[in-house]
Amino acid sequence: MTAINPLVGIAASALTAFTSYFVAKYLSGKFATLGISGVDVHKPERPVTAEMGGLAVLFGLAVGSATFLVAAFPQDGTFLAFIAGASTAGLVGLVGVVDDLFDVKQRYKPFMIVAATIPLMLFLWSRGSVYIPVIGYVEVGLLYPLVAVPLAVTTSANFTNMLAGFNGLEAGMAVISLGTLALLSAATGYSTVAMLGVILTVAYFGFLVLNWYPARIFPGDTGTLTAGAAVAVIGLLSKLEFVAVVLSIPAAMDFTLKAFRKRPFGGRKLHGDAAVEPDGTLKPAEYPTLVHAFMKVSPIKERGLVLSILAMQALFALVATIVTLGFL
Amino acid sequence: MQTARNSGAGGKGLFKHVLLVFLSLVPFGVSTVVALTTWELLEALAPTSRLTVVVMSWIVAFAVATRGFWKAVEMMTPW
Repeated sequence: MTAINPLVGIAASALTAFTSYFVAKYLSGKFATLGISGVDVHKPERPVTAEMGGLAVLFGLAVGSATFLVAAFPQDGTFLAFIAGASTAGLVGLVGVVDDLFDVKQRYKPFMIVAATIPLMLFLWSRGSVYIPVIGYVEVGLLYPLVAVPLAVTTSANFTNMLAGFNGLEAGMAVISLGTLALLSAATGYSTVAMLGVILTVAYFGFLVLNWYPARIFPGDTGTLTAGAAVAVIGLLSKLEFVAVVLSIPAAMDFTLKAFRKRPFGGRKLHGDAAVEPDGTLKPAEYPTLVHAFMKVSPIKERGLVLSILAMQALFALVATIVTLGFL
Repeated sequence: MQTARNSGAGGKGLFKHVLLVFLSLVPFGVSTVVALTTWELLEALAPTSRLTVVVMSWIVAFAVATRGFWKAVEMMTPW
């Protein structure tokens, strides 16, 4: 286990949060004038808001990572884990940038994300087992780097990309998930990976300040794909695959509700988005999704909906933490 | 002006949303129990095959339980 100087950790985290916040603030004005923007469809007045704010998170990640590596270059080789993880999360973020700017076809995206996982696959090449609480270590050989790693990153990135579209939802979920993974990585002895988790958490937190209701900037695919990939990356690097799976359950439920239908994923095309009443109450479209579940059972506004889903995410974070610490 | 929506329905609405948050644990719990049972039953299989079958059983159980979650949502829907 590498001991990290707390001052270096605090400095890297602070620089990350400031970079992410101020870049997001700059982009919220700049992108709106450049036309890199979208309509906030869940408000009665339908304001036009800047898109692709995930770019601010990527800037934060770059500044935080550089600060950490220059100030506290880990001497025991764990820096390779940090670099492999940061590279993979960053490259998936760049896939998101390309998607935001050029609207890449859905069928090409998974292949681009798999290509972005190559640094992580190479770093984890010699790992051949997966740890599952209760069951223990299961040997899977080369299936781990060749199948489990790209599949985990691609699945997590796409899950996060689907459970999205409300102010503060994606960034809030990223803060909870990555914060939990950082905490558990530190508790299980992966302090360098934990530092990467902290940097990513504060990068999303800095962005969340401007993305929270009423949002001044949206994360775009850049922000959502990076968040999902980062969850998988930290989970894989610190052998917390189970935690990453548990943290993905709300998004997995949303995916399952959309997938197992007569027309899988065709609900939005057929029925459109949720409608907004003049007082801001959301009316669900007639197809099953996780957000529509909350809208159906009782009237709810955007802010309340986001808080409900974040509470759900926090509940799963608690479950993952109890199970992990219970099996330490 | 007070409406039915904001007069007394707030508390009940909050209860339903909190209930839904905790109800979301059910698909995960059910699928995990199914997966662990499958793991115990397939002791004779090689580790990779055993894990593959367990993952498949987890996915199927999760999908079925998530459909059950949606049925519960429809039962809680007031209209």
